[in-house]
Amino acid sequence: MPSNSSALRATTLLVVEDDRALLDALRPALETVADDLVTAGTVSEALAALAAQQPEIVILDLGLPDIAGADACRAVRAETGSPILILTARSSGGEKVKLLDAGADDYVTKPFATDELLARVRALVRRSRAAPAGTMAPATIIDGDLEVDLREGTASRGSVPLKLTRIEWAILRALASQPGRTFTHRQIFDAVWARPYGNPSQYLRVYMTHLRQKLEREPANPRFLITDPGVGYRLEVPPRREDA
Amino acid sequence: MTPADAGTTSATKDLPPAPFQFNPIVGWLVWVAVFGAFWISCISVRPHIEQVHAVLGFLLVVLGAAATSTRRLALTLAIGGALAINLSFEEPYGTLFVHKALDALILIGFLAVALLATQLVSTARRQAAVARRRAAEVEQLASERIRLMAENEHAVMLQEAARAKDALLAAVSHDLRTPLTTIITLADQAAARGETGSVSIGREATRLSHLVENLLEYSRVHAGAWPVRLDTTIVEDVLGAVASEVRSRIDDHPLSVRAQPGDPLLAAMLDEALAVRILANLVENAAKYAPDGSPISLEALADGDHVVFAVTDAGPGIPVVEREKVFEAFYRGERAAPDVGGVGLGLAIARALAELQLGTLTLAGTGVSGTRMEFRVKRATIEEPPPLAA
Repeated sequence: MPSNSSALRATTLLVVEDDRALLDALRPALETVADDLVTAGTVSEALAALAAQQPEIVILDLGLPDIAGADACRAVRAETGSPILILTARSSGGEKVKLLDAGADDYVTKPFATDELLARVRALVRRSRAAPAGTMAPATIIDGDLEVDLREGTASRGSVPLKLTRIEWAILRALASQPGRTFTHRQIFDAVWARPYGNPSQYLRVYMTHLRQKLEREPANPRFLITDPGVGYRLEVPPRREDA
Repeated sequence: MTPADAGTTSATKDLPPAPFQFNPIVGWLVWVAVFGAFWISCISVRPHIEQVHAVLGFLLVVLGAAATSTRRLALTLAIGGALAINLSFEEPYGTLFVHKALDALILIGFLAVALLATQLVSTARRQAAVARRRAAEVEQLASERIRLMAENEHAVMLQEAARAKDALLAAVSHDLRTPLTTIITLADQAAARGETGSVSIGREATRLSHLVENLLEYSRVHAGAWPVRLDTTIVEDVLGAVASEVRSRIDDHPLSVRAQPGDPLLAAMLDEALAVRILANLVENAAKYAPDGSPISLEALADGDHVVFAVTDAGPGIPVVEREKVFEAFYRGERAAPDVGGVGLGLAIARALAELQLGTLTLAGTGVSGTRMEFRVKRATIEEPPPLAA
């Protein structure tokens, strides 16, 4: 694994973008994060490209001429397991929920800074390499005197053990399966509760509050358990000391 | 004229006129008078006429009454007619005795014909009245339906207009954002190559995109094209989301975040994304106008059946004369430094978004020093999972 994260590159990057000018402008920047750049101007071209070769990351613009919006995302998701990064002109919470539920991994709202786009691509590469399907990454969350061992199911602050309930562990593990990725409320229910259960949306908020009370130093100004307003929750794992 | 009036008028206008009918009292007076006059005149010419003439005459009177007055009057006159025939035209006169079998037959025949005819006429009249009423009702329903259809058409048109506006705004925003992204990307790359001037291009394009964004949001709020999803939300969720969103954008201002002490489950009825947007905007405003390094505080407190989110800075404050003006569109403070970007829409949009959540956004405090903005929404109760499930 490369020690410097800014050197992280995707092997193949598929960019689905119909605006020539934007594609030409992005090309030199994207070539710094991918060995091989494949482009497509429509969803059907993208599907043909996916049939020929599976890229490591897909960047998908939502304003394509043949299929628009979340349907485009669903069509691409059906053909690949690789992370999908969405470029979108809209930014409402409802739109984001739809995209994430349709299988997107992350989204960037236009207009964006080049650095931000590249950082998102690198984060997706790092995430997909660190967590091949099913495994849990990371095994532990360590921040100051807080230590959470997700595999063992133990947590402590200093020498004081913290007691998490079964559901709190399940939520934490679901979020930890892909740190930095926002999970919609629905995705969290699906991971934690196998069947319909009470008022899940409100219960989830209550469980998250309990988790923050236990794990965060300042629950109202959290460091790990981050709310993506109107969309869902994500776990931000603080950089490990040995990495820093 | 109300639509209901219009319905009745047009209904009576299009139907055939109702048959003539006396007012009940007038009917009684007129027909009893006719009956009496006929009877007396018949008696006076009795030697010259035959019994059948009198019978036919009384029958006509009964039928006339049945056609123009009440059924009860006609029945009364029928019985009266039978008595009059018996008394005055069947021997022996002046008694109710009947000597000839044929006379009895005539009497029974008269009564039967008079009663039957009265019954038929009044039934026909009743049915005609019902039919007329139905026709009027149908007419009224039809005009009501036309009115409703017109109203519905109007509502559909308004809806279409709102949808068209929304679609237009979405298209404009997409068509502006994509080229702006291209410009910003090219400027970023040119700046990375060390080309002088490209930094300004990037900065100006970013500023332009903020302006476009603000104008679009302002028009969306005013077009009523902003979807709002009110939901019971934990206040701490909102505070945390604001804090993590603004952290990288407020430079060296220390941000303190404070939730209602002792009540981590304090909840409010709001749209989480909109609430975070308002508060993030307020915190960024504070960072923009307050002196470098000065602290900003973000807090949420329960206040009766409301929750108040407050953003306080240690900046110059807002003069009393400007306190309401700052919420007006396109207003920029007298003291605002010319290099502070924006067109003066931020607070107008924030207030409109607060109102969309049935809340308020106001300026609190004395205005002497520091600014305290309060976003107030309805308090709510979050539904807690049953203890065993945890």
